[in-house]
Amino acid sequence: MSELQSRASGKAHPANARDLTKQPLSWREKVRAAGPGLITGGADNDPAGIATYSIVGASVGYAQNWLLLLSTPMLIVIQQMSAKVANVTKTDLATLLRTTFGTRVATPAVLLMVIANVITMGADLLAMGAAFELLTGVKFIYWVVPLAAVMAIVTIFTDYKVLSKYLLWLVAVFATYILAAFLSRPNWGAVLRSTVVPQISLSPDYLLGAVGLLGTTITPYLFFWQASGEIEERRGVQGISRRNVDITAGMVWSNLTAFSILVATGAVLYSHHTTIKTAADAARALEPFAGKYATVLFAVGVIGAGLLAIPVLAASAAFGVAGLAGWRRGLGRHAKNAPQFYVVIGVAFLIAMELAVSSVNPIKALFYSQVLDGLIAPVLVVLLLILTSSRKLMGDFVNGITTKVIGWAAAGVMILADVALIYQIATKGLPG
Amino acid sequence: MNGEQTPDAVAIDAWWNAVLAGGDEPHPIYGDDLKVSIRHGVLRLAGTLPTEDGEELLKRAEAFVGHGIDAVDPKRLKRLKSTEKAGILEQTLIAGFRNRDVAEIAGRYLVGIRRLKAKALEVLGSGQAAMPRRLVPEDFVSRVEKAFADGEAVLVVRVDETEAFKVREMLAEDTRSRWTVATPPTPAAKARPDV
Repeated sequence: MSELQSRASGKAHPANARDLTKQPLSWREKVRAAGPGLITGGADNDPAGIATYSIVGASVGYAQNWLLLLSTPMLIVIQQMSAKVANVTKTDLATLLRTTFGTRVATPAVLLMVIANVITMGADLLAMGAAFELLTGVKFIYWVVPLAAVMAIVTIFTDYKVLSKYLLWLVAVFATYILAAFLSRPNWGAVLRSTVVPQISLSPDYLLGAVGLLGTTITPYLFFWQASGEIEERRGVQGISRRNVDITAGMVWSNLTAFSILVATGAVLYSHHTTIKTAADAARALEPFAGKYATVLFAVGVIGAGLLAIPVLAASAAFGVAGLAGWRRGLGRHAKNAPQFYVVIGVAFLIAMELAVSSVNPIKALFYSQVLDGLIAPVLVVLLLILTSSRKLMGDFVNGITTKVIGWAAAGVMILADVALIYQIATKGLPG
Repeated sequence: MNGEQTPDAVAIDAWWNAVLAGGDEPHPIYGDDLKVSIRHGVLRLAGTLPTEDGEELLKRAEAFVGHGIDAVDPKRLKRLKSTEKAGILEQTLIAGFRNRDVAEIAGRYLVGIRRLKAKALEVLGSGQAAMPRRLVPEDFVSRVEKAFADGEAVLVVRVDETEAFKVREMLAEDTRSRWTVATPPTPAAKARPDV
């Protein structure tokens, strides 16, 4: 008889719903629960994320490693809140924002996420084009339209979730950054120091990197995607303990990969004063591990990450819009049963494609899309904190003190970085 | 098959007939959770269903082999073994409707067509003598009173928490409720120390 069953039939029952769902997990159960998270965590680093971490590592070395360490518990808590609120209220984030705060608050919040997603999609398309250019020599711009068309068709007309399970293996190549970080022979003393001792600078370059790094780590679309995933899978509150293990494993793995990118690019590029202007420059960070095959490995990883992330970005945008409008939604539905949802996905692809073909520098586009995410994220984090701290909405599943402290700290750090960046840009202009 | 079939059994038979004729209408109970197609004589089942329902469906599909189809391919039919246990928690869902008639039709749809096993199901209207506090949690009384003030009727459904996702989706999408809220899960009656 399971813990839950015995509680249901036994005598000494806690009156609290949260206590009834707490499941002490054995190590074996924890490992099993962490499995899917490790895989999806690897997929959280989309091409824009890879580019942003690479640019930060190449431009400031290890100086922002501490920010990644700091953001890890924040990311975990925010993703856990996104999952919990969906499982308790049985609805997605956009609908909750609308029904709780009204359309005046929900509409701009969701639309900002949609705009950031579409811009990131455009940037990711460019990154994939650049990756194909590395492999074939055919200019990146010629890849954008075919890639967007194929991915739109796959997302709208096929079972994307089945396909994504295979694509995850392509992204696994980014785990090689961990080996590259070791093989690049960094000064581990400096790496450790910069990871645990914050180095703060108010230079526009540093702040731009910090906002981009926070934006690509604590990404708005992930909140919506997490909540929508809980709804589509109908997970429920009883599995919250397992879910938290899964999310924690995924986010730690995701940030470990990101940390390795910072270390590898810091050791290979920053120490040689090399800035990243093209995808080929970014690929050089993998040379300590892959040698002359670094470019191929990087290109395969970026293509896999793009194939995984772009449909997710489009679907998150569509979940947001459909939740605001009250339309039927879900990737598990046929296009004819949720037409508006799929139209939004199609339109997102069209706009992203247009943005991509009219943009000239893939690397800059990738980076600035993440800066935009960094500017938007704190707004959504604050709204999410208000939702999950409401006893009316969450009942016994309301945020505990630890979650509140880490959540508000995340919002605070992001707001401070945003305000400092906006002030510096207003007074000193945008860095070149 | 005889004349004593329930309405949903009739609908399911009609759905199978449509599928075998090449149609792809949503299943009357599982809706978009189940996808079927026939290619080269093979009936392909895809989607996600609870384990028991999946087995029942597969058995039914296999009965058609030699009667319109050559084989059944269930590779993409995920039979979900829920980790959630019934009887631990329960959840109340409240949905607003244009008037009492529409709310009552929605209630009949949930119980009659979608085979919902509700712990409580009641339609409340503005003529209500007193708000049944045992049904509507304190924090949601003002929402219901606002609905009454707007001339709406509300359908209040209490179900096992494991059913709540499905019920919320049905209320919000199938019944065309004007609004739907799920109150937070609470310990099920038999799991409460005071009951």
